[in-house]
Amino acid sequence: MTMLALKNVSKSFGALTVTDDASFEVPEGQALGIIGPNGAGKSTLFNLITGNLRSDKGSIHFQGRDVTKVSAMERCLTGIGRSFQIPQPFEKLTVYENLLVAATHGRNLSERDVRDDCADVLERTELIKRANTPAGQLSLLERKRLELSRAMATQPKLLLLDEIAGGLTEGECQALIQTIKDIHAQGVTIIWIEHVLHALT
Amino acid sequence: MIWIDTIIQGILLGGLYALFASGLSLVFGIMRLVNLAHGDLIVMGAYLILVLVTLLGLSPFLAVFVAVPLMFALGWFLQKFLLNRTLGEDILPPLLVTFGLSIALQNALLEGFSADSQRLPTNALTTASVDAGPITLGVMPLLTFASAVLVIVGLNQLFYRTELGRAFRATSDDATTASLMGIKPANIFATATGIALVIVTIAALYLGLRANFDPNIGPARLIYAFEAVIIGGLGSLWGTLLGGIIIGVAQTVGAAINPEWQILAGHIAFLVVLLVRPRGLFPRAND
Repeated sequence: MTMLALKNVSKSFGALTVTDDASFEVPEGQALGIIGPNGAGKSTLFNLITGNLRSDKGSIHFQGRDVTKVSAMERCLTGIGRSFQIPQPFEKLTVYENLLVAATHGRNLSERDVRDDCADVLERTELIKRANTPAGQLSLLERKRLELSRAMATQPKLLLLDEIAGGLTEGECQALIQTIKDIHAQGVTIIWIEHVLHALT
Repeated sequence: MIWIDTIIQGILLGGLYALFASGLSLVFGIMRLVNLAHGDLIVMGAYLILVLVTLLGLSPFLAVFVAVPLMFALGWFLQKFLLNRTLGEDILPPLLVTFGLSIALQNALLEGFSADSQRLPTNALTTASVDAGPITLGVMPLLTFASAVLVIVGLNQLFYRTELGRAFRATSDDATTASLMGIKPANIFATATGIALVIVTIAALYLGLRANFDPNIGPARLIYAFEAVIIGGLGSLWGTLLGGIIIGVAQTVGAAINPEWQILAGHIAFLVVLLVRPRGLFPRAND
């Protein structure tokens, strides 16, 4: 089954055409890597898929449904999750609370229904020991893990990772990749953009 | 012994100031909005209770239960349709708008209720007192202080134990990211101001039972509230209680020395704390 299909998607900011006639399909279960230098339009492509930006032309289908005109919030509810290039955790909330906020509002559920799921996510992303630490006190790798966890807390079928390995050392990068591979192995389709090649290979 | 009595009266008076200040502190903490009409809203709350007492023949304590939902709704709409529009990078618009609101409220109250001072009707409970060893404590000051503690405990529970509280803190931390998570900051802010006006109503009850009020006393209550918040350190609710107590004790001690010094002593205490601890007694770690 096709998870995501873009057909002739274009986006311009004034005279600058950032995404020009992009078409591709992502089958369910795939892990797709997209590489490009800074300013190539990778994040714009993600914003188009998540609905944070509207495309000027073309169509976007998610699991066979046309979501071209669907709001970002609703796309999140139907299963498109993303991480942000620059992690923006709520610094004064604990790691666990950060996830609860994402899960309750991202899935439209009450806290009682998402508590266990959030703990599971933290287990998988190896942040469970830091669950009660304020997010402001995390190291960079832990912040990346939190960003990943927060995207996972919305229980996405398609996970978009935006330069999540940026700024990490080689060793940290390997540790994070292992976690992402585990998530992929559990059946989550992943699109990952990065401007360093080795993270994707 | 007179001194112990004076200091205890001051501490209990501090509870009233903490009630004035808690709503102000809540709104500032969540949306960095300084509401210059806060004192006038307290006075308006007192008139609302008075009207309910007169019209429905209720005791002031029961009238509060009618007034609370009305005031919550007022706060919600005020924030949603007026104050939210003033929030942004620039801190001047909210100051100007709430200053204007303060003037409008004072004049509306003056028009509606005249400049004559009013008081909520007292009953046996409001004039009762209890003997605690060598000193006598009024039931009303004790109730006021207990209410202040309850309000602060309640707010802390709300902030750290509930989903709404988590949304408050997340929005206060970073409203943009919160909206990406599906939180609607405009509604969160409206709810926060609604809750602030619930506290305002409780403060109004004790204001109206303790002494006379007229349409012009709002700004002075605002200043006591500000001083309590700043002494305690912005964002700390228990600090706000302590700030209220410091002003209350300074006022009663000042008044015991010379009745003319009551108000002045409170302001001097505030200035001394500012000199020694410019960020208040319990400042937040950052911002």
